[in-house]
Amino acid sequence: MNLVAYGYGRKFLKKGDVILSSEAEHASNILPWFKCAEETGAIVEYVKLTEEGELTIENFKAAMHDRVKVVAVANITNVLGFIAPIQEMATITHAFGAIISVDGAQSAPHIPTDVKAWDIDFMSFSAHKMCGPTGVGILYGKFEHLLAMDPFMLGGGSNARFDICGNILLKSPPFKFEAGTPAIEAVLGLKAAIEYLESTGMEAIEKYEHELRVYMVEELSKIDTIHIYNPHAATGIVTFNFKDIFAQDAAMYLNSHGIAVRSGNHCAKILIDILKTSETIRASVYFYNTKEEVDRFIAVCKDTTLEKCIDLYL
Amino acid sequence: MSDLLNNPMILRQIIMDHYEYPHNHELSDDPSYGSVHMASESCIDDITVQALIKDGVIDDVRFDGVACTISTASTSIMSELLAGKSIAEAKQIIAEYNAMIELAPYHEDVLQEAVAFHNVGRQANRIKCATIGWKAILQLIDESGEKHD
Repeated sequence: MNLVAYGYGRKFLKKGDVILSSEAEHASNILPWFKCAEETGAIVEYVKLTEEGELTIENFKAAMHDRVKVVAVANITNVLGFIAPIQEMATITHAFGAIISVDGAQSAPHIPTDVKAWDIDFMSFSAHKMCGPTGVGILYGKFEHLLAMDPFMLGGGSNARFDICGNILLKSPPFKFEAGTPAIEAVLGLKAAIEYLESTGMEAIEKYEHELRVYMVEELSKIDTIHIYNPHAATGIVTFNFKDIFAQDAAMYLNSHGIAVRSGNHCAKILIDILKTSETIRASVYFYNTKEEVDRFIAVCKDTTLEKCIDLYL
Repeated sequence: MSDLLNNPMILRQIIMDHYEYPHNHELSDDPSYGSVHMASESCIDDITVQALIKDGVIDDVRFDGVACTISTASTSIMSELLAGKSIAEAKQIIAEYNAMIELAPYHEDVLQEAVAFHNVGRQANRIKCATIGWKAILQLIDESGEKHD
């Protein structure tokens, strides 16, 4: 996403152009565009989300206009787990002559991805969210864009030749973006992760995760001390809070029972207005989780009180 | 170890009371208060602590913001404990509190209700919570000293 914002955005955006995003974006898909806007004079605008934080095609249409040059959104948002209607959004984006850059960090590991059928311009995702190693990920881009844009780092390996006058001839994509020695072992680890997920089957993963999620929400809704923020999202992310217990304290209590959840604002720091709270707990299921684990999670949730959260520190 | 430290029910009640009904939990508009904003980089804790320090004495301590149970309760207790103390006394109490958090020997009697956090230091990831308000007051004391020097 940094590469798209710096290599494409910085080169092609002009003063007054609009970058259209959403308030549910992760820092990694919005901060590079803030920086790009600061440098080019472009403006960041946001698609209005529904009360539950979903990006609908109606709201997207309403937010599109002629000055929008880049649409930068997540396929699945990391706090609320809604799937954006990317293919329809791409069609509308192109009708306005803009490009669409999709953050696939939460989607590529969980649902089938087809950048060609969706006709999107860019998509990026990280290996560590898909059973792979840290520090490596993938940027897909249409070849014409990759040819036109700049790399944001230069060095050995990315140039074909250069001379003493400062002329540089870059290699063709993707090599022009690969300055220096890459993290070869991480790339091979990512390859193994992709093969593993594909052998499991992305449709099967999506279906299983959805079933587990529906069950978890059903059970969690029965606990009256719990408020769920995204009961209707399709994917494995369930965002909730215990009434009267600070998210971090409840998360530590779950942790003491061997349940790993995330608490805080989940790097989506501008989502506060939708959630009406600055901190939440996020429990997420993946294909390696089981119904029995959900049951154990529910049992611990039922048992969670402020007293027990405090008792961890006495 | 005193009876209090052996009584987790009472310690829990101290923390719960200060979390649910934090003391001095309202900021002052009075410009003679020093003010420091403490925002943790690694968690959501985001509080502002104010102190009215005059003639080497901490007259009043106040705070507000978003914070977890441990942060809120420890700051509330600090605000009670240090109000009315001279800077020298306050520094002594802060030093004792920090020693307790670091699991070093400390004097229980000067810490009063703050002993409720005597075991927090065993869980490294909550040390920041238990000390955020205390770091703020130390900074306010230092800043007040700079003004008078």
